[in-house]
Amino acid sequence: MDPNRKRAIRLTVALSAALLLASALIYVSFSAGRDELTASQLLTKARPGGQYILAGTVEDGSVRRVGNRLDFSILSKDRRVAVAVAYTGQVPDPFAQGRAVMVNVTDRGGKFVGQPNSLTTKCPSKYQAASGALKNTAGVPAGPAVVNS
Amino acid sequence: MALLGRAILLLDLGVCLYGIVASVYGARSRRQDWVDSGRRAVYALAALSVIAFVLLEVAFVRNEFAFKVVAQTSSTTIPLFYKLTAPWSSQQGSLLLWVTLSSVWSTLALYLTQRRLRDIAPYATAVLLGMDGFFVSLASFAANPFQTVPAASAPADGAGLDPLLMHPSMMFHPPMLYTGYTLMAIPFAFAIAALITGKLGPEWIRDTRRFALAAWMCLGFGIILGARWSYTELGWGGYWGWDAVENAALMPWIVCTAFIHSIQIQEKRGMLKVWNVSLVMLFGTLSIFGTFLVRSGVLDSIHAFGASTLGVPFVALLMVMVLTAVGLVIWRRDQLRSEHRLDSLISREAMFLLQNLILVALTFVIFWVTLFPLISQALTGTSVSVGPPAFTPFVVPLALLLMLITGIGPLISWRRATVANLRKQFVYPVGFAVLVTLLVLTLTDAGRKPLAVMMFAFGSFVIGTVAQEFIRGTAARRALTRDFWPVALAALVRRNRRRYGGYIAHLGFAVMLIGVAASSSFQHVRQATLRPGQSVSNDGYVFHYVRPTESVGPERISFGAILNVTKNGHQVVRLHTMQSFYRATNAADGFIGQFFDGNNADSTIGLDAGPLRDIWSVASADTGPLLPLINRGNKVFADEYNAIVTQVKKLPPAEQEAAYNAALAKSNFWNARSLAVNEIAGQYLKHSYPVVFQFIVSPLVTWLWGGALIIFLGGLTSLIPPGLLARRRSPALEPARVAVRELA
Repeated sequence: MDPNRKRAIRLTVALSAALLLASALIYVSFSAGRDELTASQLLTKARPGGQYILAGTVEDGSVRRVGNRLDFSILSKDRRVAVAVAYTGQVPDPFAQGRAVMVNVTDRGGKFVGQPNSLTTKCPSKYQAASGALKNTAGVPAGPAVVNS
Repeated sequence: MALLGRAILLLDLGVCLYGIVASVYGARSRRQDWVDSGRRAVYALAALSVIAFVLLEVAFVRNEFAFKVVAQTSSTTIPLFYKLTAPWSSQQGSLLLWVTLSSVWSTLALYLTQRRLRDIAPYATAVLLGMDGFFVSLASFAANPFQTVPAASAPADGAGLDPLLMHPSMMFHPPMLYTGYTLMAIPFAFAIAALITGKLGPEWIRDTRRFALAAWMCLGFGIILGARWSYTELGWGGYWGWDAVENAALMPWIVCTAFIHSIQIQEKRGMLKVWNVSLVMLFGTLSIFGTFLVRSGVLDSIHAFGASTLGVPFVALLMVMVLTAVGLVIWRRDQLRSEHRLDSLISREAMFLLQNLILVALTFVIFWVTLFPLISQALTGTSVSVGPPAFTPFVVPLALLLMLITGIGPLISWRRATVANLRKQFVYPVGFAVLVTLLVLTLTDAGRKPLAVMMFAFGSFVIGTVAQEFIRGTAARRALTRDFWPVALAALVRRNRRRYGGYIAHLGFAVMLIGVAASSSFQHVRQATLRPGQSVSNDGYVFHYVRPTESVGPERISFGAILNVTKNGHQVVRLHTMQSFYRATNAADGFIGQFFDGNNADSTIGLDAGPLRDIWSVASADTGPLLPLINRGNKVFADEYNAIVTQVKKLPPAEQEAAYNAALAKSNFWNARSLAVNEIAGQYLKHSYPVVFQFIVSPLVTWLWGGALIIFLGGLTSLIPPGLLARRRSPALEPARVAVRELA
């Protein structure tokens, strides 16, 4: 076969494969991606029984463990709206108040229940001080470390 | 000390600027003295940066809390080991580490090439100093590690290091990643210089190939250390989450893998010159893109990484890098034409090319999906979350194809393979793969996961290929020298380090991906809430919660569980898992609550790792039942403390501090607090509080770590300079050796 023709065929095949891959990639990205909602968006859009991805920052002082259930609130970006979530399942170590988290929730008649094991938190090794470390310590001196008695 | 550090950073910047000017002027005016001076500027930069980094380390070791970065990421109670690692937990310290490593590797590269690449080296020096200068500028003006507060307002103690960063990997994982990233700048700089000068012969590739290989090895090892850290520390039982920061490191590594393969085609046949130089540009740019993603906070979602103001300078640098690279490649396209054409699609060159295309496609997939939340936000205005479901439909088939090519590549001849060649080469590896696959299908229930079975088959094929290459090579060597098998094998590897180092890396790759396929496809996860004495089963193993544990130390309070694991009534292993609470400095926690703050907790997993399966467990201690006691303790101690403060405030200011300390000592305040904390923690043992456990049984996880070590060994074998492994040969015996060779 003419080498030029051979090259043209190879180029066409390669470009077609690349185009196919790119199209599939765009399709899968849109179909596999799920909208992330902030707390205020969730309160507007949520319908009973609906499942959503809630993303935001864990509100300070909202974390409480009740048996094997973890209750916490997620703040909207402007920190004016908070959504309370009742979650059961695995809690990643980096989970803490003030950290960015994402959780899949189901609207149970105005109460948002976290789907088991859907809680994910921001990777911790990203140049942030330890949680709670920079908060005001006025009023409570640290004092010495405790020792095993 | 802080002043000295700041002065050194400014001096660093001056050295960079001087070095760039001297190198470019020297190259253009052909003044070797200026070129040498520019090169020495890099040596000076390395020396100064090392001094600056040592100063920062000293500040951490000596608890100099006037340094903002020390106050934010260290404390008096963290062990020395973690004080030494704390500098790179901060943006500021990590930028200084980058400059230090980059300048040291640049020094090494320029020292080794000072008598070669005389036309290219000055421009490479200028590029390296330009990149170093960028990071020095950031460290000087945007995130200065030597920023201080007045001594009078310095805190008595620091905030401490995030407990999750207190892991032995912290000593090696970030520096290994940075080493990989910074080493990638060297081939990048030499490629730019080769394009500028038009000296595009094989020399610059030959001299910088080792740096690309070292970068590939270090970055790969850093990634694996991160995966191991995630598996053993983060309490979720996984080693890879397709997190953007993981992907940021993986992308340049994949492109570098493509480069260290395709470079062989250029060396052997003078082909793929544009492709190779483009790969160098790509991994050089991706290494900066990775650090941009990590530091800029550009992705405002779950994958965001600490907001900072560094995004704009990084975007500017990336744009300069991309535009320069593309412009230079287009400008020099005539000189980059291939000397030969591909003879056949069934040849080793074609396999290399196909493997390269797969690797680049894989990189593109990861790049696209990682940035998709941003793309979606820009196109639709809605932030979208993408996770493993968006990666796996592409990554799994591409990884399978890659594994197949890894097995086929070494078996096919260069230029054009014949049917006889294919038959001779493929029989045993294919036979081995078929045998292993049949055994897997017969002895296990793996058949329900066809993609995993395909990975086992292709992985076995690669192992068979590598084994055949070693056996045939060693047999040929034995036929020549009559050495024993191990001696002949060692000599074979020693004489062809690059080729056999590559085969060792292929073996590691197969072992690793078999481990990944098995552990991700056949993992069994079970969660349960248990009280002492209760049991639960998972994949045939029975997990029995024997008893709780508790310990109080100066750094943390730990609540744990002893678990007994049995299978079919036989003892398998006894595991100890615990959750540790590090002391918080949050005023709202109170005098007692600061020791039980769940925001400052981490998990220690109970792990029994074996060659065929891992048993993994983690406990989430519930401090809820202790809450009434903690609140009561907080109130009692706050009342006592406030009473003391009220009394002290009635005294003249000059007497207050002494009176305050005397009152605390008299009331035995801190000892009482210590006793109270111990007493409350002790309640955990006295009561059978329920604990939430997660149990995971995963097959072949150890193969993943083992495979990575084999890859590292392969890289090391290829990297070792020839002189280190060459057997000293007596010149007197050379005629005899020639005679033996001729007879053979």
